[in-house]
Amino acid sequence: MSADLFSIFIIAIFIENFVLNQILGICPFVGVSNRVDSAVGMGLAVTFVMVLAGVVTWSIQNLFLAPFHLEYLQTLSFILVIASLVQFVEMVIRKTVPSLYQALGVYLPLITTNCAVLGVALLNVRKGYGLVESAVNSLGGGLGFFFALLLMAGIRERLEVAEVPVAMRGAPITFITAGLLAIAFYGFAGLA
Amino acid sequence: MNDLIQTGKYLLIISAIAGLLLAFTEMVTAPRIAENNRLVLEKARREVLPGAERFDTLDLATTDDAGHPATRSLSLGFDAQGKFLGTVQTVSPKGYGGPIDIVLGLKPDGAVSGVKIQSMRETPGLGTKLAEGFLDKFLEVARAGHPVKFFVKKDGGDIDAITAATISSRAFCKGIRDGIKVVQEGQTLIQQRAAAPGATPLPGPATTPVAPSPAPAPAPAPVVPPAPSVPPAPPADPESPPPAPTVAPEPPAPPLPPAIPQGGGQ
Amino acid sequence: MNTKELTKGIWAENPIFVIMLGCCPALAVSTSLANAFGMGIAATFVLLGSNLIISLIRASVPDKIRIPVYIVVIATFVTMIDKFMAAFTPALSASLGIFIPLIVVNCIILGRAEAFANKNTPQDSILDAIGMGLGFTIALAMIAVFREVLGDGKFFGIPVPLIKDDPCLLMIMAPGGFFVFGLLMAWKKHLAAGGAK
Repeated sequence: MSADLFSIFIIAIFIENFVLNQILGICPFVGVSNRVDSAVGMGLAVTFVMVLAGVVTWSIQNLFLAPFHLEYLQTLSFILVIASLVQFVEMVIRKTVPSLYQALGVYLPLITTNCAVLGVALLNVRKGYGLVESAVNSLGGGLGFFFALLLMAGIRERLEVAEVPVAMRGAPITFITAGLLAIAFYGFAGLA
Repeated sequence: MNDLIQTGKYLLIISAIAGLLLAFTEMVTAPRIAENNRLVLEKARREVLPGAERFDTLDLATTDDAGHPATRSLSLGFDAQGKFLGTVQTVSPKGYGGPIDIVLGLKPDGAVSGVKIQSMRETPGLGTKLAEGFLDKFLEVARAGHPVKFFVKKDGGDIDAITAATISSRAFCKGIRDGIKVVQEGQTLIQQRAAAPGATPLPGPATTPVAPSPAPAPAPAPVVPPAPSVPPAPPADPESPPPAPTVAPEPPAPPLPPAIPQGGGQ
Repeated sequence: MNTKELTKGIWAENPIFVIMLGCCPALAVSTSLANAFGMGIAATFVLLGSNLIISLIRASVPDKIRIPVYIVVIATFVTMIDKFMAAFTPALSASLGIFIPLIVVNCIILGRAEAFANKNTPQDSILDAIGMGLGFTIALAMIAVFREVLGDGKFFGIPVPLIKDDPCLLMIMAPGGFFVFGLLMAWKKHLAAGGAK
């Protein structure tokens, strides 16, 4: 059992990395990866929301939607839950840990439209995970996103001083770099 | 406060309209989606078990990879005359990008009658080649030889792995072995069910577990010449005593041929 | 008839290459032309529906709950197209997988609701939706042409001579998506820069 959870965790971080393998959450990946400190903030915020969303959406699916055969409300209810969760987290952090809010505040509203968060919720259901598995998969997914973002930010800080052809500057070179990173991540394939 | 009630009312109305629309959509589409799924399954079943006209379901208790009890749903296929043709099941070994759903047809003697890949999330093009040339080659080997070792050649088996897609190929072989194991374990129950609906009795006494191909051939021993119609009942599975209730989960370790280092997993 | 609203989305304000919204589906489902068009049509349908409804109700929506209302509208259309595709085009629906429900978080849709439909008439909003939807579809198809031909050796499912036996598989895997997208974006940027001079 614990071995299963561990392998779910490892697969979520490295093999089925949301950004580099599943291609989810590209917008924030490109948008917020220009500096390492903002990447850390965004990565933490996403991981946190993702775990919460994974647990809450699992509960909604299994305690409410499935028993009443309301699966057709899945997309609607999941996205509403994620949106309100993000608002709620923002409020709680602002009231309780102002310093953390200072660091994460700007990133939180962006998370609602991060497709990796809704993606993890939908994938948990499609893969038939239980509560604990969902939580572990969400945590792994979030950390994987964090990891990819951090790597990218580190590379981009160096790219700034590199001589990139004019047309390739900015987003294009970021995508090429992401492609190379994704190839590197295929090396993790046999890990699980 | 009035403002709050106003917004609340608005949200309520919008959500109610949305809910109604979706319920209507569901009403229109649900039967069709169910029908689509059924058709896909039905088509796959007929494809892997040629000649079958009617299917019965039978739930067998087995164990998953971690040794936990699990149920596997089998379909027993009969032709128009009610003759038992074999079993169909879906096996879902873990491939490179998640489970590969394989519909596997097995003849009563345990030989593979057909395989079809139902869905998978393998790297498109790479693992997806499983669906193309690999399957034909696989079927050729599976139908020709008795007993076939369902492992990729790299692991000492008979199956050609796809170049650069060893993980997918290994997963595929593991799925086939799992499926065969389930049928092997459930042999008695299957025979009972197969005989029950007025089917012609099968060759061979119902209690003898018919050991299909990959049954532990402890050494690369010479192949036992196949008996007529009944498969080479090679070293009869030591841990499934004939009358044993197939429901008993069997310890997962022993039945694997010793030749395989990592059991073809990931 | 304001044709500017229609054409801007196709090139000048192409949602993918210029505004860079909705990149995830652009990369994830652009492995074949069939997928690209399927996704494009689904997203256009949602965009049309949400732009129309939102521009109709914009005056009456309390400002505070604007975003949640938009999300409900969008999610409703997404679920509808999701179910209808599963019912009538099961193969396409299976190959697009979770990217259909994920249209809900496609930034293009919410972005257009907030930036355009919220402020414009239903007519202009429809034109905007068609334009943006077309732009999205064209961008997806452009990426998909390269990936399907080079990576799978096929064009719309038809084998292409010379490549079909030994395609460069990397192109239909995730890295290929990143590469093609990056290069196309650079090309668009290059053209735009040249035109400005």
